[in-house]
Amino acid sequence: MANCFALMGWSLPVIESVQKSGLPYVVVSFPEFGPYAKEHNIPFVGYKLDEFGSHSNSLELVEMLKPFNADVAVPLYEETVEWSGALNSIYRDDPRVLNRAFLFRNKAMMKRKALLGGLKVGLFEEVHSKEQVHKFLDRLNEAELQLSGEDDAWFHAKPFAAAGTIGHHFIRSRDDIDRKMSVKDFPCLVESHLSGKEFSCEAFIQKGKVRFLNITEYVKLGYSNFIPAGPELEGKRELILSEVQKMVDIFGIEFGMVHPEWFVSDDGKTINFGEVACRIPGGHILELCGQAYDFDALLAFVVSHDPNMTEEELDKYFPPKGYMPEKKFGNVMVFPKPGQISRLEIPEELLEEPYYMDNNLVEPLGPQKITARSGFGNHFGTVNFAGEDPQRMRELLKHYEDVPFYV
Amino acid sequence: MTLTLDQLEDRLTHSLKAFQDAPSFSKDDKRNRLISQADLLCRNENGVELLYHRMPELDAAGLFAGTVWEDPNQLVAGLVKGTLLAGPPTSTVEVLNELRILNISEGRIQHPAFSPEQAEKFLHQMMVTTFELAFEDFSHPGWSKRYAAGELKKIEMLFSLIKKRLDIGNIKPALLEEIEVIVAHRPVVVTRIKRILRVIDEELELDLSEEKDRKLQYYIRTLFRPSELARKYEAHLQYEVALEQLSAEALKEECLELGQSMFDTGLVSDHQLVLLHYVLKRNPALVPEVLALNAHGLADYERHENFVTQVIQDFIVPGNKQAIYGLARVLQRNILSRKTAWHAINRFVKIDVDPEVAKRLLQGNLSDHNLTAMQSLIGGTLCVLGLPLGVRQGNNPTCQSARGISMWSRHAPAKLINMLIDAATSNNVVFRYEGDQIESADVIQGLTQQFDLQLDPVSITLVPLLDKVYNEMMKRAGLKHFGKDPHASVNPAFYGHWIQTGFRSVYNPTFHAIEKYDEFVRIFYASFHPDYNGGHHLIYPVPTGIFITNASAQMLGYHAISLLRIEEAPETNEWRAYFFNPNSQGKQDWGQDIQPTVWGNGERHGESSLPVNQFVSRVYAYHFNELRLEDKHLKVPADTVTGITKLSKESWGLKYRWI
Repeated sequence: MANCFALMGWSLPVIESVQKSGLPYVVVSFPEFGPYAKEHNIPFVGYKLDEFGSHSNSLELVEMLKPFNADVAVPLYEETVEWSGALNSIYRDDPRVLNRAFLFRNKAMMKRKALLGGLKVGLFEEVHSKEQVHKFLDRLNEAELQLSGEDDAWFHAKPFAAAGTIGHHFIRSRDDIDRKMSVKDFPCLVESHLSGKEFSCEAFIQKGKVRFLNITEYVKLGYSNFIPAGPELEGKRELILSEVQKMVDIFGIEFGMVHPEWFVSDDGKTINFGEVACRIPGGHILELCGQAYDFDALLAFVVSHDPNMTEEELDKYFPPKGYMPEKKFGNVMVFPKPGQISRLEIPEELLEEPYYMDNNLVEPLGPQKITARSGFGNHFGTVNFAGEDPQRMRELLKHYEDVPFYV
Repeated sequence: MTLTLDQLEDRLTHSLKAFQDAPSFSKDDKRNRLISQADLLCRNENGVELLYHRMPELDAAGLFAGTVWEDPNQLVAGLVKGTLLAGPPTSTVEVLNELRILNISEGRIQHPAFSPEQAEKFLHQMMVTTFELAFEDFSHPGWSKRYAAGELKKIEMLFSLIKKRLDIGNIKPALLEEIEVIVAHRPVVVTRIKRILRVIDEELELDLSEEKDRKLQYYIRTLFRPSELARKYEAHLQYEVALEQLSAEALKEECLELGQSMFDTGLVSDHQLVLLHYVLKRNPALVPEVLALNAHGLADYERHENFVTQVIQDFIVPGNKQAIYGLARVLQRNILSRKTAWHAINRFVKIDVDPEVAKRLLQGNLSDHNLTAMQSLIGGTLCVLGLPLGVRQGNNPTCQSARGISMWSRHAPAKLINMLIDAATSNNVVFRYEGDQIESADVIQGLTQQFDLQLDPVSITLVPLLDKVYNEMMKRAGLKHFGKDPHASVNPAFYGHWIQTGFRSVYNPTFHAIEKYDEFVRIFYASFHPDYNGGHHLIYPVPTGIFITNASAQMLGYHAISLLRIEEAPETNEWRAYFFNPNSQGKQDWGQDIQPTVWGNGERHGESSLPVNQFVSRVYAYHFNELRLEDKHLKVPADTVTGITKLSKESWGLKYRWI
């Protein structure tokens, strides 16, 4: 059992879970959160996590955490992954832990490791200019045996180290390159489009073995999802589990939770590896997971990082092995449409819907202007659903993505 | 396939537990979810009953903690109506709040600082100020156009429950007071009072041994059955037939009686309309009696009899019968005898209304009768011209425009009619601002996005346009006269150049502070108070900017009013400031015992008043005549100034630095 968990990053839902469990913890985040933490009795260490140098580094942070007896670092956000890696490599006296952390923070490096290990990835390269992108497209088209007059192969351009879909460009033609990409996108990773149904999963790892796997079905990435996935995906669980374990082996992950994204073909025979993160996934996925399987998934996320926890101790935090719930829990993240909004309006049909659970949509403070979204941040709240029919769930989520809650 | 009550209750219990268990930093999120669960229950009878019964638990869990509803003593009954119509989650919490107050009044919840008697009093007040909603069936299409059906259902369910548990008879005294205030205040739009009277007539029991109930009966009769004949023959056709049977003497009596009722209350009954049309055809000499005209009114009527007859016949119909009162007042003001107004109004009755404007006017028709755009417009204009101080801004932040319409009606009726002709025919008005022209049609944004059209037809026509012009002027003033209060240049351009050239404001924008307050108060007294300005009364109204404060003297915002006169109140001889307030519905409470009244202190119909010093303590800007000031302000007593300064500093003044 760990002496104290250092939660890297500010997340109230995680703090709530850990506080309830009674496990000792301390939160490490930007100093601005200090006063709030004090007010609400949250053990806290303020640190400028966005700076790195002789004045700000993991060795110093370890010292600051000593009074709390911290011995396990838990990364809650993309930006704290390397900090956690650094701290854990000190705590476990294993320098490779830090290197592994960097795998998650550079998509190109991640892909290369996956490729070396034998996971199925697309054709990918690191590029530094539009010219290189054009040359990449040439090579890709060539490999796809393109005849003149045929459409260009599709590919994606992504920054090396951004969360979600920030800075992501989906390129469907040569024109798109010049139209969508600009100087500030470089350097970045380009990868050929992976076909298949996209889904993510959350794999909780202990001593290098996947001890619990959740599969999430997206209705629309960034807007809505539900857990457990429908039968089409759940039916492929064995294949998915073996690929995930393979990935875990390749990356050498020993403890924690990973959130890989995959593309699976309809016949279930091929799985392509998208990318993997090791921090808390967006879209309230762990909340949904917890509600569906009836356990505190955020807490499970935290304790999975403890190398000294035994199997029996861990079992307490997870659902019974092999348990597959009947009811699906899903949500829609509501973003107001661009334009002028002045108030919140809940549609009648939603209130009549038996699958509708509740919502926490905030009222706009006054008339305001909404600009186009970027990177899925800052939704105005979620609308939650629960029910047994995955088809109905898909319908509802799809429908309510488009309904304007803010007018 | 909706959920059963049991299932909903389960969910509520679940959400409540999550809320109770939540640590301090996630309470708000859990509260929002709980409220959204409660919202589902609010929409049917059983659900609302359930919430009422479980309210003690919900309250004990801290549902209202940290919200504006937390302290029942801070609640304002007058705000409930707006909140109930504001949409979720606010409207939901307001419903829950009323249920909680109900629980307190019945002793089911104990509150250390709010007694069951206080709770009951609050509910009574609330029922009166929210009267329209409490007894509304929401069948009129105007409701569903503006509000979601589910929201209206919540309101219906709430009041259905409250009416079951509260003795509605107890609100009669409060209702009577409300009615008397409205009658004294004479607003142009009388929908509210008519609705109150109708509901009392149909749903409440009157005990005629009680004086208050007798008074209520008087008002009800005035509106629905104003004479014995009308009581005997309520149906209009029967009444008309009965009129034919009357002797000449009796007919005259009837006209005098109905005319007097209207004069005393400002309310026009259906019977009066029938009577007016009847005598117009059969016995035109009696028209002045029906209109209760005095000597001035009679003279004007005789001079313009043909025109007035035409107007009555063409434009006054059941849907706008209040225009009879407006017409009577117009005649009394001798407006038709002013050449400019005469020409303007002759032109006005012949216009073609622009389709956009016609649409607005139609939407604004809250009566049960059909009205053409012209009928609406002409009827409304008669009322506004007849009752310059009866114009109100309604549920819109457009006090400046309302103030304008009122001032023009009073001092420049021809200008108002002329502007109406422009607005009604082309949905456009043009103003000058310091050498430039501003057309409302060119301006993209006014201050307000969505107008609540529960207004008089003149406001419906003009205010959307005026609002844009005013906003544009303010923008240009902000750029052109950077660092100066824009009102100084905008008010003369907007209202008219009779506005005095001097301007004082308490606020210094450079330092974000209140400065030279002493001088501000002195100049006010020296310009407007007869005791200090050489014994003169105001010639023109003074557009005045005031700080609005709530009953705890906390600042809420800014407001535009006009100061009309400073005179001694009859009987008390106390010096009072009489002013026009476009959002006045009656008494108000501005904190520190500053409570503007609308009758009983020498107010004329439509005025509000306050003792002068109290009034000044809320003023932040005014226009004045610099040439005549000389050194009169130095003679204003120091303790007057100190007293006012204290009131200011301790109310809105807390929000500012003072230098």
